[in-house]
Amino acid sequence: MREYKLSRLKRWVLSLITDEDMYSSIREDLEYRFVEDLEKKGFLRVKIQNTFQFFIIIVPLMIESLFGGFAMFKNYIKTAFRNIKRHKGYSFINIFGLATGMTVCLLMLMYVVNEISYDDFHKKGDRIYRINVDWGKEGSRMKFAGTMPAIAPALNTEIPEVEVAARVRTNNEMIILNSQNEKIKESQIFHADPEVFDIFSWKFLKGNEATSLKDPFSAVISQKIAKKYFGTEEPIGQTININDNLYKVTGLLKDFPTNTHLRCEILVSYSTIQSLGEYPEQPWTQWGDDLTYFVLRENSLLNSVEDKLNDLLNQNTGKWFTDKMEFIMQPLSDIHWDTESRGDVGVKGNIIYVYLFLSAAILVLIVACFNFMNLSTSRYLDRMNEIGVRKVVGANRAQLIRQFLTESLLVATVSMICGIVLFNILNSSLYSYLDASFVSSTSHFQYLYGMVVLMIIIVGFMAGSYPAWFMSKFHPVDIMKKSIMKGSEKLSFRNVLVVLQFAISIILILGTMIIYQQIDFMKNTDLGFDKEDVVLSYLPFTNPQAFHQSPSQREVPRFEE
Amino acid sequence: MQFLSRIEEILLLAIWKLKENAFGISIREQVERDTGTKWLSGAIYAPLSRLKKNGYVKTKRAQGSTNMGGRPRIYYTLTPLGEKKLRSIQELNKVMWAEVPDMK
Repeated sequence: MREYKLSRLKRWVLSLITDEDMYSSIREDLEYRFVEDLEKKGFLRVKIQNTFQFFIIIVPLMIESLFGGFAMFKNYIKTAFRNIKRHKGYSFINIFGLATGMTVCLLMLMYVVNEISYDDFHKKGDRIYRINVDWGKEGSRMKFAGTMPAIAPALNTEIPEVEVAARVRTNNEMIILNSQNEKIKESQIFHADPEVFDIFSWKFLKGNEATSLKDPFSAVISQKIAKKYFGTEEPIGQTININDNLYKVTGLLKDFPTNTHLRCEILVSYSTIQSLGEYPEQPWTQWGDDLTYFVLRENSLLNSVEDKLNDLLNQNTGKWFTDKMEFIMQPLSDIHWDTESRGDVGVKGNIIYVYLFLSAAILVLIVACFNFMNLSTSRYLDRMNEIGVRKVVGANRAQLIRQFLTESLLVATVSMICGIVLFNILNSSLYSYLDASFVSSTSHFQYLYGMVVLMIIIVGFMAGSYPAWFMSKFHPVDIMKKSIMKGSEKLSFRNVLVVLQFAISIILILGTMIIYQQIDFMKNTDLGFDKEDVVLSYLPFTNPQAFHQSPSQREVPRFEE
Repeated sequence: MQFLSRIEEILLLAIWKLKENAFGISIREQVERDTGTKWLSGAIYAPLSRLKKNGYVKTKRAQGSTNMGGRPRIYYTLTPLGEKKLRSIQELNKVMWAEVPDMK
């Protein structure tokens, strides 16, 4: 029987609201049901069902422990909905304000998530390193992402601390001839050792991970490429013409997420390079475009790999070489932020932008919460009769606070639903304007769900805290005698809120205007030439002499994206 | 006399029927068999904890038997108060149904 363990988050939530015995019973039940269901249904379905069952179990327990039963909870929800209905204008501003704030916050957080989640989907991710090179004389040193092709085989055979190592060679754009004999430019073509699939957790849809890149002239392609060149036909076994060589398609990869530095749309076997006559033997002094990745064995030290690699370098080269050469072991998670190394691949990130976006997201959310607080406390007189009656019949302050927090959580939930609708409408148009396609990437949606739940809780509590504290503090006698008049209480905290809210709003609006003008300037400023009819083209290496022929003879290759 | 809710009554009866073998999973399955519902049966845990808090059931940690994760399994048994409650419910039902011998 398979074992299944409840996720840490679920266990934590469970332990918060139950005692030890109940926790143990519920955990056993959920884990047992998971394994039992798995025999009949698919993994994903069982997982969703199990989460659903988890909520069925904990929601009543939570209501039980917070409100002492369903009766009061039902009453709070009913009162909240009645209040929303009675003051439609207020409710609309309140909900719409929160929804807008949440949407903007989500949009910005998606960018942040995309940046900080770079390459985090690899199972061995925390043990993957890339070997970079620091090369040159003192004072004129440069860093390179590429290393010697001789390193990876040596790592595999001679250094026991390395679990597996592989080379990935970056290439310039290559020309693919499709079935209509059209020349098409492709940039994401890499030569790779078969071991890359042991390092990176790329998902194989068809083909064999161990053998598909073994033979020369074999290629593993992504779904996107398969669709582009073979349409609906079965891609495995087809041939693909890259730079006038025929490659056999031996594997199909699931499309890459956007948040990875290494997007290998087409992988061709590394052995092809030797077959084409380059690098017949691999001297340690020859290096160029080969990125070398390796997985450190568990419980091994990175230092010992580095020492042994330096020893190997000393054995295989002379002092003139080792003096100039220094290896850098770069963790996988650092690659996205590394802007120094030359010959690197992928989009680079800037941590300052991430902080900027993160703080702007938080500020927007805070403004939305302040707005909510002001609106709910400004009409506190409407609720005074209700609060007075509740107090007279025995509600204590803690219960009233709970009631108002329930209310604000409810409003936050409704706002979030509106916010998600807005988010879906806005994200595609915003990111196509910003020229970033990452939101369509499904790998972020797991974070999105978490953020949505977290945001409801944070906003609900933050926005509801002050109104709950404020409205529950009056003495019932004062309420009944109507001695709390409008303005008799100096709402100084509210004044502070209003000032803060306006200040933050003004800062954000000004910032947005400046950035917008900058982008506008970048796009529309006069460059001194008409950029409409200017083409930037990279020459294909296959036919460089075409450039030297006279214009009438010149055969201009037709490129298509 | 304090009345129990219907689900609490069903739970008490299920624990009584299971005797020595009443733990989380078996109670849930007993309730599923008795009532014929499957989906919402996870909701038994809130009333179960209420029963425990009110002193109708008590928990006992099994020494020998462990569950899947190797942790001791928690067994539930009725307290004398719980048994008394169950008997009084039975009495009440008998009295109430006595005048309606046949529902036709």
